[in-house]
Amino acid sequence: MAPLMNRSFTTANTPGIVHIADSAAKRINSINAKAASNPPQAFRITVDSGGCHGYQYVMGLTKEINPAEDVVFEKDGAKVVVDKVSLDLCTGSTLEFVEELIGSSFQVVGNPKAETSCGCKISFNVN
Amino acid sequence: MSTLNTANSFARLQRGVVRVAGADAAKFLQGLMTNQIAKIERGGDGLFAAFLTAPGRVIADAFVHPRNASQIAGKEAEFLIDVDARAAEPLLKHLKKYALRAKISLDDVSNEYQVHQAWGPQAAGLWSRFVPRGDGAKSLPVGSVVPRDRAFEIGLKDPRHPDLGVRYLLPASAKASLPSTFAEASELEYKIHRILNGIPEGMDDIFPNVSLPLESNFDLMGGVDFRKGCYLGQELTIRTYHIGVTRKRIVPVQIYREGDDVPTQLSLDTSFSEPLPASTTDIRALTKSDGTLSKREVGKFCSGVHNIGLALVRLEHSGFSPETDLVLSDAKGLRVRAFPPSWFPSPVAEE
Repeated sequence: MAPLMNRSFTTANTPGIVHIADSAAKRINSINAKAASNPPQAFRITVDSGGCHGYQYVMGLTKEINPAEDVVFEKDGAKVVVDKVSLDLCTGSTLEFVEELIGSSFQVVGNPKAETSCGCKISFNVN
Repeated sequence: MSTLNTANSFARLQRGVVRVAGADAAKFLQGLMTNQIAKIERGGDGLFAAFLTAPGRVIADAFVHPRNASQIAGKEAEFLIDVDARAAEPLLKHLKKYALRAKISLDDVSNEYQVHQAWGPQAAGLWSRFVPRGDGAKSLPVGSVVPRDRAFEIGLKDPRHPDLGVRYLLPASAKASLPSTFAEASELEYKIHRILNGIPEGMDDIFPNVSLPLESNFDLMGGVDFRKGCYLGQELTIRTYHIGVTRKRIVPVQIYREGDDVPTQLSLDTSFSEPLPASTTDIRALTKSDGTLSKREVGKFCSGVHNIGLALVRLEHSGFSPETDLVLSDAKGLRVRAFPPSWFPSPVAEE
């Protein structure tokens, strides 16, 4: 494991990066604290085909990390896992936890490759 | 005037066939097409659908057929997609873009299959709808199919128009065991039959990356499931549907020379030999009283045979008007009169 830093980081030889916002790190840590999961669960972002714009983010908690395929980002102890195929399509984005009246959710925002996205911000299209 | 081929006929069509196979094939296609894959993922008849871009433009009109699992080793889901021969490559490219980690294989198998269409008074009898029966029907794994007792394994009753009969795929080397009352017709005869019924097909009629599914009559031809969940291009399609306004439609047109009487009914004249304009040629409205052409086009020509064709036309120009003529802008002296088909729902035909 690479040393902890305040900013998110990538492991060696990987082209992509996903930033973790404070709000997201805080939320992941609080979920782990509440569930008292040991070891703490990582937050996985997967880009899948689907949704009304062709690609969609699938997010969830995971304990399984495959070093051959996955890249791990960390902030304040909160881990975010993205596999390399997905990372190709979302590098440069930021994972945020957005609290709104309509509902609170994790969102992947600022994806430089996303040309257009749908209203619910789950689905996007690349050029 | 020529007699129209309304006898029992079948034609071989020059089409491309793309194969999508693998454990994730049904789920993968569900996210990319306008019709409901759940209807066919356990086999049975094929269905008609469109593949769209994210902004909701048509990449290709397609028939998607499930393949009979009893013929496939390993019983994995396999679908064959019948598209315009020129659309096979762009469609493959499009599908590959979204394959990611899906457990599927994508191949151009145009050389392995021959697409056929059979029509005529007895064509409907060639096909009995397949319904999995009994307790086992619901527990069939995805991709498995029960063999059917009929002339061809892969096909469907053409949902676009009842008079179009049956569309089916055969291995390139095989011969269809059709009743002897069916005579082979040319692809051109099929095209004439299709145009007179007002059915667009392929890239000349449905312009790739330009045409919209509702303007191209996919809703009227059974090609869109408005109740299914997200698929690529759904946003615009569903919004247009709920707003309920489609201003342009593809309709049959009759082409006539300037100076001739405006045709009063759609009828084929095989002696008409004027070269027809290219697909997407603008159609403008000519006001007869002062001879001025409309600044903007009121439609676009799709394709035609002899004096009949299809055109995408603004619906206010789809009927007969004593004041205006529709002029094909690139073709010298050729005009068109639109004839909305009788099967258009009345609000469409009246507008």
